[in-house]
Amino acid sequence: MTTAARARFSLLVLPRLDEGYRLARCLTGNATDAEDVMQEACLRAYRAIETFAEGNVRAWFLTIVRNAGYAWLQRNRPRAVIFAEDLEDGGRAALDTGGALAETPETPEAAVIAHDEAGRLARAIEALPVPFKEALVLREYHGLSYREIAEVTGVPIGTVMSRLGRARQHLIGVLSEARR
Amino acid sequence: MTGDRETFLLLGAYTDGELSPGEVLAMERRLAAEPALQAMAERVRGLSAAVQGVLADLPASPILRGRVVQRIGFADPASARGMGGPRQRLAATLLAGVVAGASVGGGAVYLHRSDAPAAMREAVLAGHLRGLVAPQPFDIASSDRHVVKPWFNGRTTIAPETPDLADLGFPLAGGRIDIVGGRAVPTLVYRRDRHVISVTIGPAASDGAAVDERRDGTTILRWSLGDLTYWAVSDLNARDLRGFVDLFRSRLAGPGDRSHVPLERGRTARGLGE
Repeated sequence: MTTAARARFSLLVLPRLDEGYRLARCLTGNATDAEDVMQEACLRAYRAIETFAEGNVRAWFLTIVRNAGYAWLQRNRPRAVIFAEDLEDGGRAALDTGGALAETPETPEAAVIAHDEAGRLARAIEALPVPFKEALVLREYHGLSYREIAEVTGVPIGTVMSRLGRARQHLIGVLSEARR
Repeated sequence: MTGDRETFLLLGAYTDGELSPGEVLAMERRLAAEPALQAMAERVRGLSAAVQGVLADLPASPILRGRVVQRIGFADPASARGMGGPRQRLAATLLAGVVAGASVGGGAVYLHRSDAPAAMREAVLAGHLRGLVAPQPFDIASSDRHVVKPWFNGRTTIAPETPDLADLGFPLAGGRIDIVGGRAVPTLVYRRDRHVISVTIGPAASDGAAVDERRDGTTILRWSLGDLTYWAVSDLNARDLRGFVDLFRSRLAGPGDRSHVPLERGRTARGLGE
C-alpha cells in the first residue's frame, strides 16, 4: 500500500479533483468546506484504491465525494439531510394550470442569460434540498446518465428521474414567478 | 395535458436522452401533435442550458491539488521513512518546479542519481518537457519509421523498434536523443491531435516500482520488454495514453502475438509488504 497505491491514486483520482470539487461545492454550499470534504474524500479514495477493481472510475470517485459530503452535512447541517425530502413545488401550480406557458410569450429560461436572472437561478439551485440538488448537478454539470446517478446516490433510477423532474419543475416555477 | 407529472418526467428523460427508442418515438409523436408540450420541451431545454451555464461558472479550487498531494504524501507510511523519504522530497521538488514552470532545469539536477529509477523517471519527464518548450519536440522530423530508426545509429547504443501507428491515430513525428542516467537514449515522438507523446527507451531498470503516475497533467507510463525499459510521457489523458501504450506494445510484439501483457503496475510486491 505504498508506491503502487500512490501511483494509482495519481492516475485515477488526481485528474478528477476538479469535478469532485464541484460536487462537494454544491453539497456544502461554500468553497472552504468543499475543500475539507475533498480532502476527506481523497483520503478515503486513497485507502480504497487497491480494492477498486477496473470499472467506472468517475462514478466510483464521485460516490466517495458524495458520501464524504453527506457525512459532512450530517455533522454540520443535520437539518439539510433530515428534512431534505421536502421540495416546495413552485412550478406545480404553473404546470397544472398551464398558466406559466400562456402568460409569457418568450420562455423565461431562454432569457436567463440576463445577469440578474442567472443570479436568481444560481440562488434557486443553491436553495434546492440536497437530494434534488445533487441529482441536478450530477446530470447537468457532470453529465452522468440516470444509471450512473443512481449508482452514485444509491437510489433507484426511477427516484433519480423523479428528483430531476421535481428539481426542474421547481426551477421553472421560480423563474416564472420572478417574471411576473 | 402538459400538467401531469408523468408527462413532465418523460419530457425530462427525453431531453436527457434517457428514453428507449420506442418511448422516443411516442414522445416525438406527442410533441408534434401538442404545441403546449412542444413549448414545455423548449423550456426544459432552455432551463438545462441555463443551469449548465450557472454551474460552469463555479470556480475551481486553486489550492486543493497541492493540499491533497501533500496530505496523501503524509498519509503514506512508506514516505515517512527509509528510502521513501528522499524520493518523496525529490518528487515534491520536481512537482513544485513543474508548477512554477521551471521544470526544464529541475529534472537535470537529479541526473547524477543515475542509480535510482526515480531519477531516471525525472530525467525522462524533463526530456519530454524540454521537448515541449523547444521549437521542435524532436531532433529529426519524419513520419517515416525507416528514416527515424536508422537516424539513431551512432547516436545511441539502443536501436529502438519504431512501430508505425499512423493508421491508429498516432502518427510518428520524429525522434530525439535524451540523456537518462548519464546515457544517451532514443526517444520516439508521436502525435495525437495536438498532444505530443514521447516514448523514451532506456536499459532495463533494476527496480520495478512506481510505474505510472500523473503530475500536473502529464502522465508517465512505464513498462519493460526484454532488456529495455520504455517510458511513455504525454499530457494526453491517461486513458488514451494507456490505449496508445497497448497499441505500441502489441505492434512491437508483432501481429502473431495477440497475448495482452498488462502494464507492470502491480509489480511492487515488495512495496505492498512494507
